[in-house]
Amino acid sequence: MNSSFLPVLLWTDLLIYLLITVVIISVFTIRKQPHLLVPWKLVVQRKRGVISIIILLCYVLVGLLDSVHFRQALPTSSANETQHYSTEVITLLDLALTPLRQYVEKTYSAPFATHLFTREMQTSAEGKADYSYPLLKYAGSHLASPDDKGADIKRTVMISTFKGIIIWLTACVLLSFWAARRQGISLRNVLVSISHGEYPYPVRTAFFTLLLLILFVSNIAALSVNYHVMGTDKVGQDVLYQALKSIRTGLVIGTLTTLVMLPFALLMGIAAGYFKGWIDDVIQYIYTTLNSIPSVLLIAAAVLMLQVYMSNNPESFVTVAERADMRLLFLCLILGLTSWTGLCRILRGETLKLREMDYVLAAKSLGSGNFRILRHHILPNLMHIVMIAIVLDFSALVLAEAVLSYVGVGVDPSMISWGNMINSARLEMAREPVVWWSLAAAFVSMFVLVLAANLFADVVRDAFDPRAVKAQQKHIIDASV
Amino acid sequence: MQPLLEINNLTVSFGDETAVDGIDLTLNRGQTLVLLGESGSGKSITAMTILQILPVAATITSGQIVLAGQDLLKKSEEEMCAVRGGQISIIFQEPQTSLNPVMTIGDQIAESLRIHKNLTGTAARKQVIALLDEIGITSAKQRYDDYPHQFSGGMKQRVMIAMALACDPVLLIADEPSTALDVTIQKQVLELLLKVQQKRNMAILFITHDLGVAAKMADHVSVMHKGNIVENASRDVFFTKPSHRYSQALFNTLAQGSQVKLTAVKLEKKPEQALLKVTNLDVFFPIRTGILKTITGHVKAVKNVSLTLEQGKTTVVVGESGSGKSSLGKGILQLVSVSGGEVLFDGVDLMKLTAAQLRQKRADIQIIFQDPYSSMNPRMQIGAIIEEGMILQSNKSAAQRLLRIEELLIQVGLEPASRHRYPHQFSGGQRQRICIARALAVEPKLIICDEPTSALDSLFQAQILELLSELQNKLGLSYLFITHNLAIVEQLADHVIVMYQGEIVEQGDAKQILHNPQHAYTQQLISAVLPPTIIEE
Repeated sequence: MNSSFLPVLLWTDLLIYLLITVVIISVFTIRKQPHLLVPWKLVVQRKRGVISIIILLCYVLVGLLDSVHFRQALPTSSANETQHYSTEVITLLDLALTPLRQYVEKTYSAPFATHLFTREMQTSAEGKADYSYPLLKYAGSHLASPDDKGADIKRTVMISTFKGIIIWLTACVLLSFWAARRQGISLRNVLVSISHGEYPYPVRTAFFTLLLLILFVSNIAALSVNYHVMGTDKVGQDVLYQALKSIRTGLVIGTLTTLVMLPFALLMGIAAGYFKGWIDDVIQYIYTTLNSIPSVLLIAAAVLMLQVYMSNNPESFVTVAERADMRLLFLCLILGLTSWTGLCRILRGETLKLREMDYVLAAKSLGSGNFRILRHHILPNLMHIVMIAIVLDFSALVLAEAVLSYVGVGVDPSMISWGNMINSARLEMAREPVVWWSLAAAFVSMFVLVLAANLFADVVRDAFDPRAVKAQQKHIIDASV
Repeated sequence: MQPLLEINNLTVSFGDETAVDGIDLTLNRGQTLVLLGESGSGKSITAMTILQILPVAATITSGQIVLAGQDLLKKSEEEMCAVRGGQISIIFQEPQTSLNPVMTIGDQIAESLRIHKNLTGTAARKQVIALLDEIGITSAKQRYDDYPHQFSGGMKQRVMIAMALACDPVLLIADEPSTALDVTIQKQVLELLLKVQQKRNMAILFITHDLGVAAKMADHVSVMHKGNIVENASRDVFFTKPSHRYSQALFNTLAQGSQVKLTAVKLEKKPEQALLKVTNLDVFFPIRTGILKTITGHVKAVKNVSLTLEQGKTTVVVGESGSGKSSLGKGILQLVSVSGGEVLFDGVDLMKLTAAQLRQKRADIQIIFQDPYSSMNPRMQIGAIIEEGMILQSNKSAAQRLLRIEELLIQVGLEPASRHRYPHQFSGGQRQRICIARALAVEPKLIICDEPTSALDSLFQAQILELLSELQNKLGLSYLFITHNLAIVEQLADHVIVMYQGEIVEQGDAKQILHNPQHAYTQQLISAVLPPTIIEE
């Protein structure tokens, strides 16, 4: 069987798909449950909420594209030869960013540069040896002379800005049209209510965010075809490409770790709070012990153990990507194992409070067993805390990855991540002139993600705050006959 | 004579909602004005407006508050600081949370002396001790250095009063100062307030929802309802001829209770047999100390209690907070572990059943709690809340259960369609009805009512009691009714049990106990009740 690619399913991919399924299922369950739906509606009614959701969705989209792995077919000389596949595992994102991925220069070059960052001995056409900055192989190679750079950039920006605005207008009209269809009112009415700001959701803010985003993306896309917008690193790889590839690593650490930690925190927290007695003692003992071990040491030990295992069993890993992926997964596991204690403690406290509520006593006096009480009366009343904790933990974990990789116990060195970018850039900080772009790219892309996640967490926390929600729902309906 | 406090056309609103709607009040020196109303009527907001300690969300839209010729609303924050605690002071409802737990009570009282009178050191100490003496705290010199947790609730409220009196205010605002206290202590605190008022010729703005308290304290009564003053009258006029419809309704709900009783009495012809027989019941809570959590003693919540309850009858358990009456109810239900004794229900000893058997038996005894806000899972729809017991205790099909839910909702006076709503969408009284429906769903023989009306406004209280009597007549239910409110005894009880410090001090027929109490404690309890009429002293 010949095909042009061979799909590769990595462990983390599998878990990401699982996570997506869980998210989709929970969206459908939340839609049916007013006590969860109302706060989520509040989230999208806030301007900050909408902005952060749009930005987070962009990151998620990039991360998802980067999670479909496959190996491309190698060209074959004759039709009946068995098909061979490249050992390099690539993703849909790589495919989309092919020029960025393949335009590898010799070494460092500054953003938008046409020349290399370091001087080299080179021979000119006349055969004269010259110690100077050589031209880049790819960036700016379309220019007749490097001096045309400014004019070329200006022209590209103008064209792509124009294109961006057209795309934005089309998107806005299509979205409004969709809204009009859904509500059964005319497109004109929808546009009028949006422009007057009478719409229940902050649509103007959303559209404005979308405009900025489309302009940013279209400009960067157009420019990055001919230039290294964020420069290149030591081995000449495009830094923008690295920053984009790092997104998946960050997201995986942020989300999968939560997935690992959640069952521990939920089970242990609820069990400790509800059953009390010796169960509580044991669980408290476990988490205080775990908390008192420096987590960096624990992680370092675990990662080293995995490395030993991997070097002893090289046959289990066909490609470099699989090795790196296993290490990433392991990092998620160990981070999850060390970080469940905080949430567990909060859930235990809340359960201790809830178990004394009169409705739990009422359920007991109706004859409910423990399991039923936990499932119907305790767990649903803890979900808001779980949701807030997930969103808050996310940004902390993304930052933790950067720190751990910097220390050298994070993800595999062959895996592109913000932590690795920072780690490799730190040596160049002492150079004169300084090589700042790797660090800046990692910093900016991480900063935007974490800021968006934190703003989102803020809005989510506000929306689930019982007092705020109460103010929204305070109309008491008179149901008496 | 110019009045001390004059409020003209005061309006306070929270966003779009008006909490206080253009009210006028006047209060003379040395007089007491009782602001009477139910929860949410705007009484406390009025008090906070006078002191300008309103929550941030509130805005004063119009009006004047004139204290001794000066408009308080025109004063700056700095000037108001001199007024608060100096000319006007306030006592709050909850003495437990109004005192700082890490400061000695003496220092807390001395604080306002330091701020307003610049008194420090021994001078302040002397004055504080004099104050403590005045409000009836014995050995005041030693108690100066005690912390709030070393005082009982009533004593804490006395300390609060001392704090309020420290700078000789011309106006004292008392915001339900006796509501959180037991009846016997309530009477003492009120009498103390009257005594210090006379001595200092101080004006009191007294906020309450209790007609009995109003009758004892008031010179004038202003009735507040939904942000408006609906009636303004002197005490004598108000308690003999209330003019406004709402005021009349308040008095009528009290009268209605006794009518309810009349219908219940007619049903006494039923065959009587002991449904519940409790013998020598003990409920002890162990006190654990040390690392090994060894039991070093017991809190004896219920000691050696025996009682019998006949089918179709109501037994009322009366006692103050901490008397063990709630623990008795939970002990009978086996919701707390029982240390000794026997609970015979329908001839079966509940304490000898296995966990599974007990779960089956639970359908026969149900409980209704005091706080209608915490007794329902906020995440469940009303229908699901009522259905839960049926799922556990009967093998009805889903369709049958649905029919039964609608039937129950109608029975307790709610719309069948309301089964899709959530608890927060109902008022307190309606929630209590839902709790009753939940209990009825499993067709119990006995319902333990643990202060089911004390968290409700008086209008709702009467409705709930009426509903309970009606259900008793229709379904032949028995009630074990736990309360601190003696008014309910008169309305509902066939049999009365008086509890004091975990023990039964007196029990017997309701009429006999109310009119001819034998035990000293019962006598004290009954004499402390403040009837909603004027008693000539």
